Amino acid sequence: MRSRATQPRTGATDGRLGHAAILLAGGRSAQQREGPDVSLLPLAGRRLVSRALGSLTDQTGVSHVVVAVHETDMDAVAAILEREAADHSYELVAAQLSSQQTVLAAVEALAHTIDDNGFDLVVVHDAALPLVSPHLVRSVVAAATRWGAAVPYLGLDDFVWIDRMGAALRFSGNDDRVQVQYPQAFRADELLHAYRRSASEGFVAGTATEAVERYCGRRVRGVPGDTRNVEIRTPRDLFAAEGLLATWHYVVA
Amino acid sequence: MPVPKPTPKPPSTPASESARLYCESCATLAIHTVSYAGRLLVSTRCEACAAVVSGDANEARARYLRDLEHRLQSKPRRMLRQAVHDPKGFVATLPAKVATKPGKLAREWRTLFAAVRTRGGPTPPAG
Repeated sequence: MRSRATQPRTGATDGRLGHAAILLAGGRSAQQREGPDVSLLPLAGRRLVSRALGSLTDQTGVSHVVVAVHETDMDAVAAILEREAADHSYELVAAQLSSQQTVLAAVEALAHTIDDNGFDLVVVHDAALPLVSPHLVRSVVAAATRWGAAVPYLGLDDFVWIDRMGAALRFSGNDDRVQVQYPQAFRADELLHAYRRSASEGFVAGTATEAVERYCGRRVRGVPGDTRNVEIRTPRDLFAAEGLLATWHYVVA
Repeated sequence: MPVPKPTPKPPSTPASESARLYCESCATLAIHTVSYAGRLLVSTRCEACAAVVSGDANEARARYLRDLEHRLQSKPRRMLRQAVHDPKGFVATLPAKVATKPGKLAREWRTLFAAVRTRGGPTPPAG
């Protein structure tokens, strides 16, 4: 793990540090691969990873971010964040062999502060979704503060409960499927507990939602997502994202 | 399997970058070269199948000109910020930056006009 010489800052007025975030920047898996991760690309003058980091910390209560990066991208991401996010509090951790181990490594980097009641929530986000709005982050954080865990979704119009297989259950009992997005927020102590238990029992959790539901009995709250929170996978996604930014005059609000 | 090389530290304003993207033409996750004119995307090229994707050329030129105007307007503020943040580095690099700026702008124009010839979405693989 590499760490900048910044200390997590106080993000709340009651003496607690507020929330932390885990930003997956090509760090879902450490499997060998060629070429830099897409999160290192610039979009309208700013790299995707620093765009995502900026939105995560824009008046959302998130005061510290752990950025999970593939080992080969580590120096490049460090240089980018030094240049574009120097006023933010963050640290870098190396991606592990699976996404589950990567999230565990990232949340373990926060464990000491979580154990000291320093962070109450952890927001998990993927830098391949750089247009996430601070408003969406705040919505997810607000829901997780109240309900313990929250994820944004697309496809239904109202608040729903989401089970661990991704099925959304309306209060009326309908059983529709939804598309779950990032960012996702969880109680920090529960996320740490769930990933430690998963690791110790050898349980392969597909998502953080599944781990938290299984080991903490927590039902995850769904909040309405944002269709503009696009994941960049293809060249066309890049052009679409730049077009969206242009219509917003290059400001994500 | 060979160990991948570390990604070099990227410049602040690149002419082109590479990254792994999913190619809709050859349906693989492949390295793409992404070309920029200033801060704006111009085209992408799949290194596996040579498919090129670019935006509408007329729109790209119009957006480039608007962006260039914005860059010119904000230049004094950006220079001042750098001078305050790193005075020695600012003074040391200023002559080289001034000397290379015309060439940089010329390259941006060339990149932009080269994209006109390849516009229209993914192209079939060469050969």
